[in-house]
Amino acid sequence: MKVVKREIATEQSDAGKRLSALSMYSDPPDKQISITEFEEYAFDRLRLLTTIETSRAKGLKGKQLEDVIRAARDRFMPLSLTGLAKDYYSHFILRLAYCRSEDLRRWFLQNEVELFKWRFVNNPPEELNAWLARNGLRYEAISREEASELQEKLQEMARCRAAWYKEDAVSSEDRREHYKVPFEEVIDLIRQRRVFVRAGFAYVPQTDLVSIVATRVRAHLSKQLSMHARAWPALREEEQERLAGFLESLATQYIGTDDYSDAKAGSKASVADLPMLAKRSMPLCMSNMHTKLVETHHLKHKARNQFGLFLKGIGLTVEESYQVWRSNFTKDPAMNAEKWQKEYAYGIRYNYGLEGKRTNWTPHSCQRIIMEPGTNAASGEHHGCPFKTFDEVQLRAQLQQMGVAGTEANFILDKARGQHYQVACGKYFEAKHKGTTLIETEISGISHPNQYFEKSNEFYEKQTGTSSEIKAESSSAVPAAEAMATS
Amino acid sequence: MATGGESEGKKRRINADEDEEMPEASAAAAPRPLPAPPSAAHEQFSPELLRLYYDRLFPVVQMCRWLSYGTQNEEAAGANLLHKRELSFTTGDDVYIRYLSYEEPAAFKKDLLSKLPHKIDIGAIFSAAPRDHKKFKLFEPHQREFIIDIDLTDYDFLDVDVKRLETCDRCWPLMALASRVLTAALREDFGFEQLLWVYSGRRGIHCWVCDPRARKMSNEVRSAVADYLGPQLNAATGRLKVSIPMHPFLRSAYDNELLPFFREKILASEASGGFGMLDVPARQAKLLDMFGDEELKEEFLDLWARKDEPGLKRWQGLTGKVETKFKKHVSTIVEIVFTYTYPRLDVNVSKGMNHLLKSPWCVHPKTGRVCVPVEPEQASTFDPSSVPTLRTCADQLDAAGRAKEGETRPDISRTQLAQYEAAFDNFLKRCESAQRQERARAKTSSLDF
Ligand code: SF4
Repeated sequence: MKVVKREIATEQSDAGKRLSALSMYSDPPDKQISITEFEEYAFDRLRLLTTIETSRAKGLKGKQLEDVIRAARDRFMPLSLTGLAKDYYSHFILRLAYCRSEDLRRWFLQNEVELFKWRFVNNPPEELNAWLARNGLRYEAISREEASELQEKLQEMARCRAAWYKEDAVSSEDRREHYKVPFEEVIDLIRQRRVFVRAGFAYVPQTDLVSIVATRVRAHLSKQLSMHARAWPALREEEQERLAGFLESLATQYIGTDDYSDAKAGSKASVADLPMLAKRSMPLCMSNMHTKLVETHHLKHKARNQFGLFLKGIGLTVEESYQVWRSNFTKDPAMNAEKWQKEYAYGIRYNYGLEGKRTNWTPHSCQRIIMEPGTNAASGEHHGCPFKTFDEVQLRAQLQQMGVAGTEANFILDKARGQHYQVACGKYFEAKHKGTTLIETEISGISHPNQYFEKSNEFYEKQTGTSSEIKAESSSAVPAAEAMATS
Repeated sequence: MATGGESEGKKRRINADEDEEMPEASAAAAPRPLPAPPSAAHEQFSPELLRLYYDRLFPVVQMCRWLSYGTQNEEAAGANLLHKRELSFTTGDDVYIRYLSYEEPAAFKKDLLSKLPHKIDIGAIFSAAPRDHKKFKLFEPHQREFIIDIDLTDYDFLDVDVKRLETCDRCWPLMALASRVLTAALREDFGFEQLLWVYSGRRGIHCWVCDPRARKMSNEVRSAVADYLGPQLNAATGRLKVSIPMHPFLRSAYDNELLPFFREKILASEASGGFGMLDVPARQAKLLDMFGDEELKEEFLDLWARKDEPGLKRWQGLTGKVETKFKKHVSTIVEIVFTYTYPRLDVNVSKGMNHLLKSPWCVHPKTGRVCVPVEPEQASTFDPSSVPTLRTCADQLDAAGRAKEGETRPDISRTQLAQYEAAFDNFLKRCESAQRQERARAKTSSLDF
């Protein structure tokens, strides 16, 4: 594809000594890479950005957030020559994958900018100066002379800021570098008198400079994304054969490390257990579809797809799937076994790779379910992630019904409102599995409905291993959990 | 009733292009019949005096020089900023005419004489000539001085009758202080040089910040600068909100201006030219209320009632006690000093490009005083009661006699307005030399490419 041809303008080439991935990504890379590299790069950046997204959604801040980003960076985009190349390519690949809709662009922008900020504050000041100059950002760290001339004022300012931000002045002086910025560019700092101003320049400490530069970077990226969006239809045409499909599915791809296309060895749900499992171990999206299936004796195409593949993922055989779908559908007086066979059996066989392309289809990830458009309960479209598709009243009622209320419900609603659906789902998991701390321990919250299901099973498996409370609570729970003991 | 800027509510509003029915030619030809009351000789303000003023004294050429900012000789059509400047008049019968604009001093003067405005306001520089504003789809403000409006009525702690002119004059030191404090911030912090301070004719002061950089500020930037300059009044405590430690700008204002003023003026007795804020029980109570502490209030009201002391002594006793016994109020002390001294600017005037402000050289209809420029360095010695009124100007013109044959001295130089005109001229020269430098800089830097 066109994006790959010139020498990558990695920023270390002129800095010479130290590697740095700090970049505005102004010029697209120009060397050829293989399709495998292309895909691998894309996935790794997606993993890095997803990590950032979920950590932020969980409310990680400061040092904690920095540590998580550093770890993910080291893992996915290490600071090496190849790592830098990967960083450069993958950024451009994801731009293409994420330029197509407002939602995607916002997601991409947010997390790219966060990554940029992290890199910015973790670069030594001398290099930042050179970098700012190269990118035409007219911010300059003040000279040593000016710093000593203004020392008293700047220290006074540091004390004000420390009091304001409720930190101790010493730590806020750690990053002592100040940048001279025309006051018009930092109006929020001016408005709140949060910065020292002299002769038309604001003396912005490095900690604040990052947000100014990040604003610029965001604007730049945002413009680029809209340009890509306009160019996309033509590019899509051209890349029909090779990359268009990959790019289009990238945004909804499941990038977790586990494969949920089949149930884990040894774990296997049974048809009889489904009602119990729906209540106990299914995420809200799946239990919702299950309820609707039982109540209305029907599910429309998208929901059949999502729920059907999920069932396959938790271990139902194709015959068991038949049984679930047929028995429910035929409760509708307008449906009979024969008609059902004609209209719906194919779809199930298809999911199991027995028809059509004969692919062993994978259950959909949360990303994919969340991005799937068209949910509309009124017209019987029940697919999608309830944390997104339900309104607040509905969601609260649904949570209540599943026994989740009070502060936990408030937290979940709050996260859902903030569009952090998977984090909401993670909290829902915790609320339903007392004593678990998924949110604190797992970087990525819930990323797959089948992951949710398996975690739930693990939980009950442990419970039954150590206590008999579950037995008392639900007689059918125990055998099911035991039957599904994982390897 | 004479028209002041204060009675907006009653005004009829007219846009320049809508008052075509107004018989302009006849108005210019025949003076409106306005019977002069018998005591006319002692009136400070009347249509006759106003006509004389606009005809012989109002510095219309300098005003146009100012408002064009060195663009009067630009070749390109539309380059002259004067053409796109909105002026508005309030006439004697309370009609408010907006969107006036002029291309040269003579036209401006002609309109002044025909409409005899009691008040002239200056608006923004627009994308097109305001008088043609209906012809353009896109008509929006492009430039505007950053303006500051300070009025005694916003100093809510003053228990004086601001309707009485002598009272207002006595409070002038607060205005002088305001101009010093804000000038320091505008110059040192923001690097603005071309500040025009103007006496508002009765009880306030205006500032026009004319640097190109100031004129080009967006509304957001203006609003941020206004907030930077003006600590907010906290309605709950009645104090200006100041976070401690103070921002360096506020701290230096506090040390250099506010605290000395508080001690030397606010606390000093009225007999010695101060405000005597701790001399009368009602004022004492007002100040003590700001602590929001009944115990402290009672204690000191009681103490001061029993013992007669100068205000400063009382203050020292109070702060001493706060530092030892009422420690939680230590930062309140600072806020109280701010509340009694810090300039109360009307931030809403400063925040928008589109806000109109009374022009310099207007005449205040209630006082007859001319709105003359005040140099901040001289603000402390400026005495509003000595500002010429229409009447004194007319008398001085009479006394000076008719200009002799061949004499070119303008009329204004025969009046007391001369010194203020000289100050205005100095301001214009400063502006113009800055403009020349700027242009030279632009030229050399364009050679670099
Ligand atoms: S977050 Fe994922 S698992 Fe949870 S409800 Fe939404 S789609 Fe289902």
